[in-house]
Amino acid sequence: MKLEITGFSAGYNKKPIVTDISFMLQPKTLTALLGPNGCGKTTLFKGLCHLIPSSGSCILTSDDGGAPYNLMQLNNRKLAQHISYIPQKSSISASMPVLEAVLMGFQPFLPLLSRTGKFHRVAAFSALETVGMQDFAAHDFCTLSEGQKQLCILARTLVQNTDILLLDEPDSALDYPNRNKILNILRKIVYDNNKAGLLILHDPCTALNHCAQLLLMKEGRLIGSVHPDQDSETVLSEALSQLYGPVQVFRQHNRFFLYPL
Amino acid sequence: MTALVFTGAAFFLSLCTGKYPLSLSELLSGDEAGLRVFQTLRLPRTVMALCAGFCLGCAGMVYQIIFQNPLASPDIIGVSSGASVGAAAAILFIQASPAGITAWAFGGALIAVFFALALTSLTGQKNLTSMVLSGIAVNALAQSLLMALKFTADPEKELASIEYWIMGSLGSITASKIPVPLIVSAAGILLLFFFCQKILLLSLSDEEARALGVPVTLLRLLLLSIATLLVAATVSVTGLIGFIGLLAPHTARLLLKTNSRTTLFLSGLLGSALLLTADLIARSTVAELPVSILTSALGAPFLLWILFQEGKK
Repeated sequence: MKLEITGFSAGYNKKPIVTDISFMLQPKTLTALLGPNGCGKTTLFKGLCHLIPSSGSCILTSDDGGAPYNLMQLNNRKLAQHISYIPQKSSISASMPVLEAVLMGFQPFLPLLSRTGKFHRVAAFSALETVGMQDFAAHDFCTLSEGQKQLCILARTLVQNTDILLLDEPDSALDYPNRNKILNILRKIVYDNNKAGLLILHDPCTALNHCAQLLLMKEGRLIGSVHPDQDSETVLSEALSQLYGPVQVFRQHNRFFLYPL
Repeated sequence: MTALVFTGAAFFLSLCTGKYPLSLSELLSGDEAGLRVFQTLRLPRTVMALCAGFCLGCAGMVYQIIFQNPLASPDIIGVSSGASVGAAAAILFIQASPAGITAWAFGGALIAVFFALALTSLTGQKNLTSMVLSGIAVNALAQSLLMALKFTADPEKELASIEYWIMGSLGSITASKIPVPLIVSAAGILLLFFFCQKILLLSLSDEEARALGVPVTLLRLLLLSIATLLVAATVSVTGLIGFIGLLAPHTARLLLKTNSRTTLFLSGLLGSALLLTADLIARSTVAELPVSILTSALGAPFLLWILFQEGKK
Protein backbone atom coordinates (compact mmCIF):
# COMPACT_ATOMS: atom_id res chain seq x y z
CA MET A 1 0.00 0.00 0.00
CA LYS A 2 1.28 3.45 -0.79
CA LEU A 3 -0.05 6.87 -1.61
CA GLU A 4 1.64 9.12 -4.14
CA ILE A 5 0.69 12.74 -4.36
CA THR A 6 2.10 14.82 -7.22
CA GLY A 7 1.56 18.46 -8.10
CA PHE A 8 -1.41 18.80 -5.80
CA SER A 9 -3.10 22.19 -5.45
CA ALA A 10 -6.20 23.20 -3.55
CA GLY A 11 -8.01 26.38 -2.63
CA TYR A 12 -11.27 28.28 -2.44
CA ASN A 13 -12.68 30.43 -5.23
CA LYS A 14 -10.16 29.52 -7.94
CA LYS A 15 -7.23 30.90 -5.95
CA PRO A 16 -5.05 28.04 -4.77
CA ILE A 17 -3.93 28.24 -1.18
CA VAL A 18 -1.64 25.26 -1.45
CA THR A 19 0.32 24.79 -4.65
CA ASP A 20 2.32 22.03 -6.21
CA ILE A 21 2.49 19.67 -3.25
CA SER A 22 4.22 16.36 -3.84
CA PHE A 23 4.95 13.65 -1.30
CA MET A 24 4.57 9.95 -0.62
CA LEU A 25 3.04 8.06 2.26
CA GLN A 26 4.44 4.67 3.16
CA PRO A 27 2.46 1.99 4.96
CA LYS A 28 2.82 1.17 8.64
CA THR A 29 4.03 4.71 9.38
CA LEU A 30 2.83 8.07 10.58
CA THR A 31 3.81 11.19 8.69
CA ALA A 32 3.69 14.59 10.32
CA LEU A 33 2.69 17.78 8.54
CA LEU A 34 4.33 20.72 10.24
CA GLY A 35 4.02 24.39 9.50
CA PRO A 36 3.04 27.77 10.93
CA ASN A 37 -0.59 28.78 11.36
CA GLY A 38 -2.29 29.65 8.12
CA CYS A 39 0.18 27.95 5.83
CA GLY A 40 -2.48 25.71 4.36
CA LYS A 41 -2.27 22.41 6.24
CA THR A 42 -6.00 22.05 6.84
CA THR A 43 -6.65 23.29 3.31
CA LEU A 44 -4.48 20.47 2.01
CA PHE A 45 -6.54 17.95 3.99
CA LYS A 46 -9.81 19.36 2.76
CA GLY A 47 -8.50 19.30 -0.80
CA LEU A 48 -7.48 15.65 -0.46
CA CYS A 49 -11.00 14.84 0.74
CA HIS A 50 -12.64 16.74 -2.14
CA LEU A 51 -14.26 19.16 0.27
CA ILE A 52 -12.80 22.09 -1.68
CA PRO A 53 -11.77 22.40 -5.33
CA SER A 54 -8.42 20.75 -5.98
CA SER A 55 -6.23 19.51 -8.78
CA GLY A 56 -3.21 17.31 -9.22
CA SER A 57 -2.46 13.64 -9.03
CA CYS A 58 -3.33 11.38 -6.14
CA ILE A 59 -2.63 7.70 -6.74
CA LEU A 60 -3.37 5.10 -4.09
CA THR A 61 -1.99 1.61 -4.52
CA SER A 62 -3.96 -0.62 -2.21
CA ASP A 63 -3.06 -4.02 -0.83
CA ASP A 64 -6.04 -5.69 -2.44
CA GLY A 65 -4.00 -6.39 -5.53
CA GLY A 66 -6.24 -4.38 -7.82
CA ALA A 67 -5.32 -1.47 -10.05
CA PRO A 68 -4.16 1.73 -8.36
CA TYR A 69 -6.96 4.17 -7.57
CA ASN A 70 -6.84 7.66 -8.96
CA LEU A 71 -8.38 9.38 -5.98
CA MET A 72 -9.08 12.58 -7.88
CA GLN A 73 -11.64 10.79 -10.00
CA LEU A 74 -13.66 9.24 -7.21
CA ASN A 75 -16.87 10.70 -5.82
CA ASN A 76 -17.10 11.60 -2.13
CA ARG A 77 -18.53 8.27 -1.12
CA LYS A 78 -15.94 6.12 -2.84
CA LEU A 79 -13.20 8.45 -1.65
CA ALA A 80 -14.40 8.02 1.94
CA GLN A 81 -13.73 4.29 1.57
CA HIS A 82 -10.04 5.05 1.07
CA ILE A 83 -9.33 8.24 2.98
CA SER A 84 -10.76 9.16 6.36
CA TYR A 85 -10.61 12.64 7.79
CA ILE A 86 -10.61 13.41 11.48
CA PRO A 87 -11.21 17.13 12.05
CA GLN A 88 -9.85 18.99 15.02
CA LYS A 89 -13.20 19.00 16.74
CA SER A 90 -16.15 16.80 16.02
CA SER A 91 -19.19 18.70 14.90
CA ILE A 92 -21.88 16.36 16.20
CA SER A 93 -24.63 18.69 17.32
CA ALA A 94 -27.34 16.31 18.52
CA SER A 95 -27.22 14.05 21.55
CA MET A 96 -26.67 10.45 20.64
CA PRO A 97 -25.03 7.42 22.21
CA VAL A 98 -21.29 7.06 21.60
CA LEU A 99 -21.85 3.77 19.80
CA GLU A 100 -24.19 5.51 17.35
CA ALA A 101 -21.49 8.11 16.66
CA VAL A 102 -18.97 5.34 16.01
CA LEU A 103 -21.43 3.54 13.71
CA MET A 104 -21.32 6.56 11.42
CA GLY A 105 -17.99 5.25 10.23
CA PHE A 106 -19.80 2.61 8.19
CA GLN A 107 -21.62 5.20 6.07
CA PRO A 108 -19.20 5.12 3.12
CA PHE A 109 -20.05 1.47 2.68
CA LEU A 110 -23.80 1.69 3.18
CA PRO A 111 -26.09 2.62 0.32
CA LEU A 112 -28.66 5.32 0.99
CA LEU A 113 -31.43 2.90 1.79
CA SER A 114 -29.72 0.64 4.27
CA ARG A 115 -28.95 0.70 7.99
CA THR A 116 -26.28 -0.76 10.21
CA GLY A 117 -26.96 -4.14 11.80
CA LYS A 118 -25.75 -6.39 14.59
CA PHE A 119 -22.47 -7.12 12.84
CA HIS A 120 -21.70 -3.41 12.59
CA ARG A 121 -22.49 -2.84 16.26
CA VAL A 122 -20.08 -5.58 17.29
CA ALA A 123 -17.34 -4.10 15.11
CA ALA A 124 -18.03 -0.62 16.48
CA PHE A 125 -17.79 -1.89 20.03
CA SER A 126 -14.47 -3.55 19.42
CA ALA A 127 -13.19 -0.32 17.87
CA LEU A 128 -14.14 1.42 21.11
CA GLU A 129 -12.18 -1.25 22.99
CA THR A 130 -9.10 -0.50 20.90
CA VAL A 131 -9.17 3.13 22.00
CA GLY A 132 -10.18 2.26 25.54
CA MET A 133 -13.62 3.87 25.47
CA GLN A 134 -15.78 0.75 25.62
CA ASP A 135 -17.30 1.73 28.97
CA PHE A 136 -18.76 4.82 27.37
CA ALA A 137 -20.60 3.07 24.57
CA ALA A 138 -24.05 4.00 25.88
CA HIS A 139 -23.11 7.47 27.11
CA ASP A 140 -24.29 10.60 25.35
CA PHE A 141 -21.53 11.73 23.00
CA CYS A 142 -22.11 15.40 23.75
CA THR A 143 -21.39 14.95 27.46
CA LEU A 144 -17.88 13.65 26.92
CA SER A 145 -14.74 15.75 27.32
CA GLU A 146 -12.92 16.89 24.17
CA GLY A 147 -10.26 14.27 24.62
CA GLN A 148 -12.80 11.50 25.04
CA LYS A 149 -14.63 12.72 21.95
CA GLN A 150 -11.36 12.57 20.01
CA LEU A 151 -10.90 8.95 21.03
CA CYS A 152 -14.46 8.11 19.95
CA ILE A 153 -13.94 9.76 16.58
CA LEU A 154 -10.75 7.75 16.28
CA ALA A 155 -12.86 4.65 16.89
CA ARG A 156 -15.17 5.81 14.12
CA THR A 157 -12.18 6.08 11.80
CA LEU A 158 -11.13 2.56 12.72
CA VAL A 159 -14.55 1.34 11.74
CA GLN A 160 -14.26 3.21 8.45
CA ASN A 161 -11.19 1.08 7.86
CA THR A 162 -9.51 3.21 5.25
CA ASP A 163 -5.94 2.83 4.02
CA ILE A 164 -5.18 6.48 4.64
CA LEU A 165 -5.97 8.44 7.79
CA LEU A 166 -5.84 12.23 7.81
CA LEU A 167 -5.81 13.64 11.31
CA ASP A 168 -6.02 17.34 12.01
CA GLU A 169 -4.20 18.05 15.29
CA PRO A 170 -5.33 14.88 17.04
CA ASP A 171 -3.50 15.79 20.20
CA SER A 172 -4.29 19.47 20.65
CA ALA A 173 -7.43 18.98 22.74
CA LEU A 174 -5.83 16.37 24.97
CA ASP A 175 -4.05 16.64 28.27
CA TYR A 176 -0.38 15.76 28.49
CA PRO A 177 -0.54 12.02 29.24
CA ASN A 178 -3.34 11.49 26.72
CA ARG A 179 -1.32 13.09 23.94
CA ASN A 180 1.24 10.37 24.15
CA LYS A 181 -1.46 7.77 24.53
CA ILE A 182 -3.35 8.73 21.38
CA LEU A 183 -0.19 8.88 19.30
CA ASN A 184 0.86 5.47 20.51
CA ILE A 185 -2.59 4.13 19.67
CA LEU A 186 -2.32 5.67 16.21
CA ARG A 187 1.11 4.21 15.63
CA LYS A 188 -0.09 0.78 16.62
CA ILE A 189 -3.18 1.03 14.42
CA VAL A 190 -1.27 1.97 11.28
CA TYR A 191 1.41 -0.60 11.97
CA ASP A 192 -0.91 -3.52 12.71
CA ASN A 193 -3.26 -2.79 9.82
CA ASN A 194 -0.83 -1.70 7.15
CA LYS A 195 -2.29 1.79 6.93
CA ALA A 196 -0.67 5.20 6.61
CA GLY A 197 -1.45 8.23 8.72
CA LEU A 198 -0.85 11.89 7.92
CA LEU A 199 -1.06 14.09 11.00
CA ILE A 200 -1.09 17.84 11.38
CA LEU A 201 0.91 18.49 14.50
CA HIS A 202 2.04 21.66 16.16
CA ASP A 203 4.70 20.26 18.40
CA PRO A 204 7.82 19.28 16.46
CA CYS A 205 8.99 17.18 19.39
CA THR A 206 5.91 14.96 19.20
CA ALA A 207 6.42 14.70 15.47
CA LEU A 208 10.04 13.65 15.83
CA ASN A 209 9.21 10.99 18.37
CA HIS A 210 6.25 9.35 16.70
CA CYS A 211 6.54 9.92 12.98
CA ALA A 212 8.76 8.31 10.40
CA GLN A 213 8.54 11.30 8.05
CA LEU A 214 8.11 15.00 8.69
CA LEU A 215 6.75 17.22 5.90
CA LEU A 216 7.54 20.88 6.33
CA MET A 217 5.09 23.36 4.91
CA LYS A 218 5.31 27.10 4.55
CA GLU A 219 3.03 29.51 2.70
CA GLY A 220 1.24 26.82 0.81
CA ARG A 221 4.28 24.91 -0.37
CA LEU A 222 6.33 22.00 0.89
CA ILE A 223 9.79 23.30 1.68
CA GLY A 224 11.29 20.02 2.69
CA SER A 225 10.95 16.65 4.35
CA VAL A 226 13.03 14.80 6.90
CA HIS A 227 13.15 11.29 8.30
CA PRO A 228 14.05 11.19 12.01
CA ASP A 229 15.33 7.62 12.00
CA GLN A 230 17.64 8.20 9.02
CA ASP A 231 18.78 11.82 9.12
CA SER A 232 21.42 13.18 11.44
CA GLU A 233 20.72 15.66 14.21
CA THR A 234 22.31 18.41 12.13
CA VAL A 235 20.07 17.79 9.14
CA LEU A 236 16.99 17.68 11.40
CA SER A 237 17.97 20.89 13.19
CA GLU A 238 18.61 22.73 9.94
CA ALA A 239 15.32 21.62 8.41
CA LEU A 240 13.22 22.51 11.45
CA SER A 241 14.99 25.84 11.81
CA GLN A 242 13.46 26.85 8.49
CA LEU A 243 10.07 26.70 10.16
CA TYR A 244 10.67 27.53 13.79
CA GLY A 245 13.67 29.78 13.82
CA PRO A 246 17.01 28.52 15.16
CA VAL A 247 16.39 25.28 17.01
CA GLN A 248 18.58 22.39 18.02
CA VAL A 249 17.52 18.78 17.84
CA PHE A 250 19.35 16.16 19.82
CA ARG A 251 18.84 12.54 20.57
CA GLN A 252 19.16 10.95 23.96
CA HIS A 253 17.90 7.68 25.42
CA ASN A 254 16.57 6.87 21.96
CA ARG A 255 14.17 9.82 22.07
CA PHE A 256 14.31 13.22 20.44
CA PHE A 257 14.45 16.53 22.22
CA LEU A 258 14.27 19.97 20.72
CA TYR A 259 14.93 23.38 22.14
CA PRO A 260 15.06 26.88 20.66
CA LEU A 261 18.48 28.46 20.39
CA MET B 1 -38.69 6.29 33.77
CA THR B 2 -38.93 6.03 30.04
CA ALA B 3 -41.37 3.16 30.23
CA LEU B 4 -43.44 5.07 32.72
CA VAL B 5 -43.77 8.10 30.49
CA PHE B 6 -44.36 5.92 27.48
CA THR B 7 -47.16 4.03 29.18
CA GLY B 8 -48.53 7.21 30.61
CA ALA B 9 -48.71 8.82 27.20
CA ALA B 10 -50.28 5.76 25.65
CA PHE B 11 -52.80 5.48 28.45
CA PHE B 12 -53.59 9.11 28.10
CA LEU B 13 -54.25 8.66 24.42
CA SER B 14 -56.61 5.76 24.91
CA LEU B 15 -58.33 7.73 27.60
CA CYS B 16 -58.89 10.58 25.25
CA THR B 17 -60.08 8.28 22.56
CA GLY B 18 -62.40 6.56 24.95
CA LYS B 19 -63.94 9.73 26.26
CA TYR B 20 -66.70 9.46 23.73
CA PRO B 21 -69.72 9.73 25.91
CA LEU B 22 -68.29 12.12 28.42
CA SER B 23 -68.73 15.49 26.81
CA LEU B 24 -72.24 14.77 25.77
CA SER B 25 -73.36 12.29 28.33
CA GLU B 26 -76.95 13.17 27.79
CA LEU B 27 -76.65 11.72 24.31
CA LEU B 28 -75.61 8.37 25.68
CA SER B 29 -78.83 8.08 27.56
CA GLY B 30 -80.55 9.11 24.38
CA ASP B 31 -81.25 7.06 21.31
CA GLU B 32 -78.86 4.62 19.73
CA ALA B 33 -79.02 6.22 16.29
CA GLY B 34 -77.88 9.52 17.72
CA LEU B 35 -74.96 7.86 19.37
CA ARG B 36 -73.91 6.27 16.14
CA VAL B 37 -74.05 9.62 14.39
CA PHE B 38 -71.77 11.06 16.98
CA GLN B 39 -69.43 8.14 16.63
CA THR B 40 -69.03 9.10 13.03
CA LEU B 41 -68.16 12.62 14.05
CA ARG B 42 -66.27 11.98 17.26
CA LEU B 43 -64.25 9.07 16.02
CA PRO B 44 -62.85 10.74 12.91
CA ARG B 45 -62.07 13.81 14.92
CA THR B 46 -60.17 11.88 17.56
CA VAL B 47 -58.35 9.83 14.98
CA MET B 48 -57.36 12.99 13.15
CA ALA B 49 -56.10 14.55 16.37
CA LEU B 50 -54.04 11.44 17.05
CA CYS B 51 -52.64 11.43 13.53
CA ALA B 52 -52.03 15.16 13.26
CA GLY B 53 -50.33 15.34 16.64
CA PHE B 54 -48.09 12.43 15.79
CA CYS B 55 -47.12 13.95 12.43
CA LEU B 56 -46.30 17.31 13.92
CA GLY B 57 -44.33 15.76 16.74
CA CYS B 58 -42.22 13.62 14.41
CA ALA B 59 -41.76 16.28 11.76
CA GLY B 60 -40.74 18.77 14.44
CA MET B 61 -37.97 16.51 15.65
CA VAL B 62 -36.70 15.95 12.13
CA TYR B 63 -36.64 19.69 11.45
CA GLN B 64 -34.73 20.35 14.66
CA ILE B 65 -32.05 17.82 13.80
CA ILE B 66 -31.72 18.85 10.14
CA PHE B 67 -31.47 22.53 10.92
CA GLN B 68 -29.25 21.82 13.95
CA ASN B 69 -31.40 24.28 15.81
CA PRO B 70 -33.53 23.43 18.84
CA LEU B 71 -35.83 26.31 17.94
CA ALA B 72 -36.59 25.00 14.48
CA SER B 73 -40.19 24.11 13.82
CA PRO B 74 -42.02 23.23 10.61
CA ASP B 75 -42.55 26.95 10.01
CA ILE B 76 -38.89 27.54 9.38
CA ILE B 77 -39.08 26.99 5.63
CA GLY B 78 -42.54 28.32 5.10
CA VAL B 79 -44.95 25.38 5.31
CA SER B 80 -47.42 27.13 7.57
CA SER B 81 -47.34 30.52 5.91
CA GLY B 82 -47.64 28.93 2.49
CA ALA B 83 -50.64 26.94 3.63
CA SER B 84 -52.23 30.08 5.09
CA VAL B 85 -51.84 31.93 1.82
CA GLY B 86 -53.32 29.00 -0.08
CA ALA B 87 -56.29 28.79 2.25
CA ALA B 88 -56.88 32.54 2.20
CA ALA B 89 -56.75 32.60 -1.59
CA ALA B 90 -59.22 29.73 -1.75
CA ILE B 91 -61.66 31.50 0.58
CA LEU B 92 -61.38 34.78 -1.30
CA PHE B 93 -61.22 33.83 -4.93
CA ILE B 94 -63.20 30.70 -5.37
CA GLN B 95 -65.40 30.67 -2.26
CA ALA B 96 -64.18 27.17 -1.83
CA SER B 97 -65.75 24.36 0.07
CA PRO B 98 -63.70 22.93 2.94
CA ALA B 99 -62.28 20.36 0.58
CA GLY B 100 -61.22 23.09 -1.80
CA ILE B 101 -59.57 25.04 0.99
CA THR B 102 -57.68 21.91 1.96
CA ALA B 103 -56.43 21.38 -1.55
CA TRP B 104 -55.36 24.99 -1.99
CA ALA B 105 -53.69 25.05 1.42
CA PHE B 106 -51.75 21.91 0.57
CA GLY B 107 -50.73 23.42 -2.74
CA GLY B 108 -49.73 26.67 -1.07
CA ALA B 109 -47.57 24.86 1.47
CA LEU B 110 -45.76 22.84 -1.19
CA ILE B 111 -45.21 25.87 -3.41
CA ALA B 112 -43.75 27.83 -0.51
CA VAL B 113 -41.31 25.07 0.41
CA PHE B 114 -40.39 24.47 -3.22
CA PHE B 115 -39.69 28.18 -3.53
CA ALA B 116 -37.50 28.14 -0.43
CA LEU B 117 -35.51 25.14 -1.64
CA ALA B 118 -35.18 26.58 -5.14
CA LEU B 119 -33.87 29.84 -3.69
CA THR B 120 -31.31 27.88 -1.72
CA SER B 121 -29.89 26.15 -4.76
CA LEU B 122 -29.97 29.35 -6.78
CA THR B 123 -27.65 31.03 -4.32
CA GLY B 124 -25.12 28.34 -5.11
CA GLN B 125 -24.35 27.72 -1.48
CA LYS B 126 -26.30 24.68 -0.51
CA ASN B 127 -25.60 24.92 3.20
CA LEU B 128 -27.86 25.26 6.19
CA THR B 129 -27.54 29.00 6.57
CA SER B 130 -28.71 29.71 3.06
CA MET B 131 -31.63 27.35 3.61
CA VAL B 132 -32.70 29.16 6.73
CA LEU B 133 -32.33 32.52 5.03
CA SER B 134 -34.39 31.35 2.07
CA GLY B 135 -37.03 30.15 4.53
CA ILE B 136 -37.08 33.54 6.20
CA ALA B 137 -37.45 35.23 2.82
CA VAL B 138 -40.30 32.95 1.77
CA ASN B 139 -42.03 33.38 5.13
CA ALA B 140 -41.82 37.17 4.80
CA LEU B 141 -43.19 37.08 1.27
CA ALA B 142 -46.01 34.77 2.28
CA GLN B 143 -46.90 36.91 5.28
CA SER B 144 -47.09 40.05 3.19
CA LEU B 145 -49.17 38.23 0.60
CA LEU B 146 -51.45 36.99 3.36
CA MET B 147 -51.83 40.48 4.76
CA ALA B 148 -52.69 41.78 1.32
CA LEU B 149 -55.33 39.08 0.94
CA LYS B 150 -56.78 39.82 4.36
CA PHE B 151 -56.91 43.49 3.49
CA THR B 152 -59.02 42.87 0.43
CA ALA B 153 -61.23 40.38 2.22
CA ASP B 154 -64.76 41.18 3.27
CA PRO B 155 -64.53 41.85 7.01
CA GLU B 156 -67.93 40.33 7.73
CA LYS B 157 -67.50 36.86 6.37
CA GLU B 158 -64.31 36.18 4.46
CA LEU B 159 -61.85 37.71 6.88
CA ALA B 160 -63.40 35.81 9.75
CA SER B 161 -63.17 32.57 7.77
CA ILE B 162 -59.51 33.17 7.04
CA GLU B 163 -58.63 33.99 10.63
CA TYR B 164 -60.58 31.04 11.94
CA TRP B 165 -58.81 28.71 9.54
CA ILE B 166 -55.42 30.03 10.58
CA MET B 167 -56.20 29.41 14.22
CA GLY B 168 -56.75 25.76 13.47
CA SER B 169 -59.61 23.53 14.46
CA LEU B 170 -60.56 19.91 14.40
CA GLY B 171 -64.24 20.75 14.54
CA SER B 172 -65.02 20.20 10.90
CA ILE B 173 -63.40 16.78 10.57
CA THR B 174 -65.77 14.15 9.23
CA ALA B 175 -65.16 10.58 8.19
CA SER B 176 -64.75 11.51 4.55
CA LYS B 177 -61.83 13.76 5.31
CA ILE B 178 -59.80 11.10 7.07
CA PRO B 179 -58.51 8.63 4.47
CA VAL B 180 -56.19 10.84 2.40
CA PRO B 181 -54.32 12.58 5.24
CA LEU B 182 -54.17 9.32 7.14
CA ILE B 183 -52.57 7.43 4.28
CA VAL B 184 -50.12 10.22 3.45
CA SER B 185 -49.20 10.59 7.13
CA ALA B 186 -48.74 6.88 7.67
CA ALA B 187 -46.46 6.65 4.64
CA GLY B 188 -44.47 9.68 5.70
CA ILE B 189 -44.08 8.51 9.28
CA LEU B 190 -42.94 5.06 8.21
CA LEU B 191 -40.36 6.63 5.90
CA LEU B 192 -39.04 8.85 8.67
CA PHE B 193 -38.62 5.89 10.97
CA PHE B 194 -36.87 3.99 8.23
CA PHE B 195 -34.42 6.83 7.66
CA CYS B 196 -33.89 7.59 11.34
CA GLN B 197 -30.20 6.70 11.33
CA LYS B 198 -29.61 8.87 8.26
CA ILE B 199 -31.40 11.78 9.89
CA LEU B 200 -28.82 11.75 12.67
CA LEU B 201 -26.04 12.02 10.10
CA LEU B 202 -27.30 15.49 9.29
CA SER B 203 -26.38 16.62 12.80
CA LEU B 204 -22.78 16.72 11.61
CA SER B 205 -21.28 19.70 9.87
CA ASP B 206 -21.48 19.54 6.07
CA GLU B 207 -17.75 18.94 5.85
CA GLU B 208 -17.57 16.13 8.32
CA ALA B 209 -20.61 14.45 6.76
CA ARG B 210 -19.17 14.73 3.25
CA ALA B 211 -15.88 13.32 4.48
CA LEU B 212 -17.91 10.28 5.53
CA GLY B 213 -19.30 10.03 2.03
CA VAL B 214 -22.78 11.18 3.01
CA PRO B 215 -24.65 12.90 0.15
CA VAL B 216 -25.57 15.82 2.35
CA THR B 217 -27.61 17.95 -0.04
CA LEU B 218 -29.58 15.02 -1.41
CA LEU B 219 -30.30 13.57 2.02
CA ARG B 220 -31.35 16.92 3.41
CA LEU B 221 -33.69 17.47 0.48
CA LEU B 222 -35.18 14.01 0.79
CA LEU B 223 -35.81 14.18 4.52
CA LEU B 224 -37.10 17.72 4.42
CA SER B 225 -39.53 16.75 1.68
CA ILE B 226 -40.91 13.87 3.70
CA ALA B 227 -41.26 15.94 6.86
CA THR B 228 -42.78 18.82 4.93
CA LEU B 229 -45.28 16.52 3.25
CA LEU B 230 -46.36 15.30 6.67
CA VAL B 231 -46.87 18.81 7.97
CA ALA B 232 -48.56 20.05 4.81
CA ALA B 233 -50.96 17.11 4.76
CA THR B 234 -51.86 17.73 8.38
CA VAL B 235 -52.10 21.49 8.32
CA SER B 236 -54.13 21.69 5.13
CA VAL B 237 -56.92 19.72 6.78
CA THR B 238 -56.83 21.14 10.27
CA GLY B 239 -55.54 24.67 9.78
CA LEU B 240 -52.43 25.85 11.58
CA ILE B 241 -51.73 24.15 14.87
CA GLY B 242 -48.92 25.83 16.64
CA PHE B 243 -46.41 24.82 19.22
CA ILE B 244 -46.63 21.04 18.89
CA GLY B 245 -43.84 20.80 16.35
CA LEU B 246 -41.62 22.77 18.71
CA LEU B 247 -42.67 21.37 22.04
CA ALA B 248 -43.04 17.63 21.53
CA PRO B 249 -39.46 16.94 20.34
CA HIS B 250 -37.97 19.03 23.13
CA THR B 251 -39.96 17.21 25.75
CA ALA B 252 -39.11 13.84 24.27
CA ARG B 253 -35.40 14.72 24.26
CA LEU B 254 -35.61 16.08 27.78
CA LEU B 255 -37.06 12.80 28.97
CA LEU B 256 -34.90 10.39 27.02
CA LYS B 257 -31.76 12.53 26.86
CA THR B 258 -30.84 11.22 23.46
CA ASN B 259 -31.94 11.13 19.84
CA SER B 260 -33.02 7.76 18.59
CA ARG B 261 -35.96 5.94 17.05
CA THR B 262 -37.53 5.79 20.48
CA THR B 263 -37.19 9.53 20.84
CA LEU B 264 -38.85 10.02 17.46
CA PHE B 265 -41.69 7.79 18.53
CA LEU B 266 -42.08 9.49 21.88
CA SER B 267 -42.05 12.86 20.17
CA GLY B 268 -44.93 11.75 17.96
CA LEU B 269 -46.77 10.28 20.92
CA LEU B 270 -46.41 13.44 22.97
CA GLY B 271 -47.63 15.45 20.00
CA SER B 272 -50.72 13.28 19.82
CA ALA B 273 -51.29 13.51 23.56
CA LEU B 274 -51.05 17.28 23.53
CA LEU B 275 -53.33 17.71 20.56
CA LEU B 276 -55.93 15.29 21.91
CA THR B 277 -56.04 17.12 25.22
CA ALA B 278 -56.21 20.48 23.53
CA ASP B 279 -59.00 19.33 21.27
CA LEU B 280 -60.91 17.81 24.15
CA ILE B 281 -60.93 21.08 25.99
CA ALA B 282 -61.60 23.01 22.80
CA ARG B 283 -64.86 21.21 22.16
CA SER B 284 -65.95 21.06 25.76
CA THR B 285 -66.26 24.76 26.39
CA VAL B 286 -69.26 26.81 25.43
CA ALA B 287 -68.11 27.67 21.90
CA GLU B 288 -65.93 25.57 19.65
CA LEU B 289 -62.52 27.03 20.40
CA PRO B 290 -59.71 26.99 17.85
CA VAL B 291 -57.25 24.42 18.93
CA SER B 292 -54.05 26.46 18.64
CA ILE B 293 -55.09 28.58 21.60
CA LEU B 294 -55.03 25.50 23.73
CA THR B 295 -51.93 23.80 22.36
CA SER B 296 -49.87 26.79 23.43
CA ALA B 297 -51.77 27.29 26.67
CA LEU B 298 -51.33 23.66 27.66
CA GLY B 299 -47.96 23.05 26.12
CA ALA B 300 -45.99 25.80 27.80
CA PRO B 301 -46.87 24.87 31.42
CA PHE B 302 -46.28 21.22 30.59
CA LEU B 303 -42.78 21.97 29.34
CA LEU B 304 -42.10 24.05 32.42
CA TRP B 305 -43.29 21.21 34.63
CA ILE B 306 -40.98 18.77 32.89
CA LEU B 307 -38.04 21.17 33.23
CA PHE B 308 -38.87 21.55 36.90
CA GLN B 309 -38.89 17.79 37.38
CA GLU B 310 -35.57 17.41 35.63
CA GLY B 311 -34.04 20.23 37.63
CA LYS B 312 -34.99 18.57 40.87
CA LYS B 313 -32.97 15.47 40.14
